[in-house]
Amino acid sequence: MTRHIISFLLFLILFIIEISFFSSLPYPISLTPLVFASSVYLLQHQDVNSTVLWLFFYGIGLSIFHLNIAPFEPVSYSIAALVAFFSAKHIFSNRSFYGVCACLLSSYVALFIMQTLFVFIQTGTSHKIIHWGTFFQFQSVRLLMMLILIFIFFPLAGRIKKILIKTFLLSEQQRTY
Amino acid sequence: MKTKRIPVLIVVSILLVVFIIFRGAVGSLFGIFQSPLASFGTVINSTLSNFFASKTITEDELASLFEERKSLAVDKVVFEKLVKENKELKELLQYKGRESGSIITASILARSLSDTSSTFIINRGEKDGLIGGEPIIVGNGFFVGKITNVGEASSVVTAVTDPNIATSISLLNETRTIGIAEGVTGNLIKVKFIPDEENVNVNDLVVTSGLESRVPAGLIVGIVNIVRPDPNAPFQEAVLEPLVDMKQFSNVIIRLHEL
Repeated sequence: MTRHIISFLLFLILFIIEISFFSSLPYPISLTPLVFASSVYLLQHQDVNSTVLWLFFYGIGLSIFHLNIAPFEPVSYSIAALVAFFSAKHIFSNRSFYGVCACLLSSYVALFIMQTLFVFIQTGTSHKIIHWGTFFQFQSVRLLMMLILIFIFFPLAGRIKKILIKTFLLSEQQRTY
Repeated sequence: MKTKRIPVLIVVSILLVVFIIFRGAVGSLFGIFQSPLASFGTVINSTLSNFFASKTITEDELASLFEERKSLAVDKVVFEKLVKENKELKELLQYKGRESGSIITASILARSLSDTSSTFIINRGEKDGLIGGEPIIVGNGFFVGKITNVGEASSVVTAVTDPNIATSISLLNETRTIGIAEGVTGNLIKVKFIPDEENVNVNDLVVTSGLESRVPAGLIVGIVNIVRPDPNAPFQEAVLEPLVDMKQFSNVIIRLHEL
């Protein structure tokens, strides 16, 4: 119970930092997907299963605050969460940098496909204007920033694990390094 | 396994329901942290923008030129206003009435994460008397967007550079051309379907026309950057450059609608 409340609070902190602080920074730092990268990294590399829910909360948060990139963000992010969970647990190694990147990439591709689909449907059914070039450029830059973030997280794995144990997000039994 | 997941689902559901039901209060609580974070980000943005600015002139000179351009734009608008006021007394009275309308300030809490849209959230909502459509102003009368969604304690502002918003504008040229401005990619604004016979020039100032019920006339929208004719139709289009970069501001002014 405590673990899930702490996890939710940590999500809120990261979410606020992303939408308020990072979004005010210059391009391309403003496009850094802090929550997405943190969620998949903690799920895959640190084995914190509860962070998969962050993606779902993130989709809801974007919709509530009207900051959504595409319609039905909770649906897109739920599917990305499912892909992230499945690939983290059954496909990619949680030891290597490439394994974490591959998990991140697969979940982001799932998100990208869903968002593109919903935006395509939206442009066909309403007067909403979308510049596809900007949309694809935005997605590419976001992916790049995500990989950079993982590149920063990876060498700090030991420290991150200590923090996770201190905040009860991981138990001592899960300390493997 | 199943018994472990049931409490998790219950906790998640409770958290979500609380979050959604009390989103007004939650939004206000978030605002306490969001406003300083957004201001801090804006300060870093401004500092870095100045640092990476053109090195052909000094940073101070560039800042001074930008200020001068803004000041001249304001002066020209004031001048245009005075000319109009002298000619039409009735309009003067109406305009004065509108000028004395109440305004409130707001802080930016969050900004859109995508560059396919240009929106931001401010810490004012229904409880502050907002109903939607109010113009958002920065500096000395620079129009940056309109309120498009009003919540209890916060509102969504769509910037004038967003492709999904249209603003009624007037060019300060000889014929006072009126048109509809729409946002385009790259933080620019486009005015389409200007008749060929209208004389539009680069560097013409563009202001709000006052044809929208909640947006007063004379707020500076931008400056004409490119004018290009449409080879297939008797129209021309103008690309405008906003005179202010919204990312450099963390506080805005809202002009309230007078009932």
